[in-house]
Amino acid sequence: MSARKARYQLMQALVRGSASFGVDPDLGQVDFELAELGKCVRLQPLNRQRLLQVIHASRALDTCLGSILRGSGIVPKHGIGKMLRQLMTLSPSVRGHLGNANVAAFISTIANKRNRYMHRAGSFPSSTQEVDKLVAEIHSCMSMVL
Amino acid sequence: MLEPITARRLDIATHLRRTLGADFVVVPAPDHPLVMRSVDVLAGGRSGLTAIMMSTAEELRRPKLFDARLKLNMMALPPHTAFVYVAVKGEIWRGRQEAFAAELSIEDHASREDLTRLATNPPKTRHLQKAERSQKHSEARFADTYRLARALRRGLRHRLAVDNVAVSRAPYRDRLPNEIEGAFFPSTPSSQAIANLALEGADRWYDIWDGEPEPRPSAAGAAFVQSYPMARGDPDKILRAAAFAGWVMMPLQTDRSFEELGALVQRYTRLK
Repeated sequence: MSARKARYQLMQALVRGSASFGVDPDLGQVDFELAELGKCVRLQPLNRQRLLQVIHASRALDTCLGSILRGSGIVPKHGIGKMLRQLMTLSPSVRGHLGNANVAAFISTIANKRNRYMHRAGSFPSSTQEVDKLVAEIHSCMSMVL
Repeated sequence: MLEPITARRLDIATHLRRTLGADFVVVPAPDHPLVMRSVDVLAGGRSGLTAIMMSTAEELRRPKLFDARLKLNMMALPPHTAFVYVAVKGEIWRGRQEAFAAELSIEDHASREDLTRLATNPPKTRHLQKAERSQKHSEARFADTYRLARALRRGLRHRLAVDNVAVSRAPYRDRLPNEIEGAFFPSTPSSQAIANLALEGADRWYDIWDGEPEPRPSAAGAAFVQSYPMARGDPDKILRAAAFAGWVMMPLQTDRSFEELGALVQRYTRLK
């Protein structure tokens, strides 16, 4: 099994094994996005493949964070960065809480980078390595909150 | 002769996929972003998460390596994960029994059915609050450690090695000021070497108490490298997993003195 497949499947196992899976239909959509992410690694042209990976991975994280916040009775704000800040306000004993340092790191490595590709016309990740880094940070964030 | 771990993982994963159905995702050798050596099989589905661990031939000879892998994975996977140990033929298990929800022997004919039963209905043996609290402490320390490692790497992108070309397998050891443990790799460390270092660091950074992993209050170690190794599909995995296991990777050639580096590690990687 390739390293990428071993990673996507791990994330799917974490989503399906979380207490809210089956209760919150949004987590089913997160599972779907992760499966799509696994499917687009060989797409051509390369620009489209890279952009699709950014879209699927960040949509999975976006919905995942929203689901966690709603599960704790908080109305999620719009955008990954704002939701990450909302996770800081959860009680540390609640699964999904993130500390200051992690939130600051994920805003810089995920939210800011993702916004560059999502909101600027004609902007594509310049290398596979750049996409791999962003997707890996998204996985890292999900593994801490799920 | 002991069956290779890859064959044992695949065998168990195939059995679980067949018996658990499409609701579950079963992953042999999952790639967790925070650890270099993951659990052997992970099954996730409506009933929760089950992590299956088996000893490799080397871990049977050196049980401390298995202990370290267990600590890191218990700290990295969600607290509701049930850990199950599967012993190989003729194995005398001397491990941390309290950490496992169940222990099975591959010799036992009923063990396969037991694995399916455990994955369908994982025993709730974990102290969830305690595990969650420990993970939060550990994650905060990891964030600071990883940030320091990335800050020390800044401006050195051209020194990144691709696919572990020139490798050094074993580091020289020394101590830095402030009692910081140092490991010096004369060239790019192999991912295997960092995995070994991570297991060693786990002993310094984590303990298992009452069946749950806890962070220990020591500072991280400093792993000096000539150039940075990268993992395919996750370029920062080695830097990140080393930080999670208590090692700050930093360049061997730097303008900073050992005193300054020792003070930085001491300041940023202590448990707060």
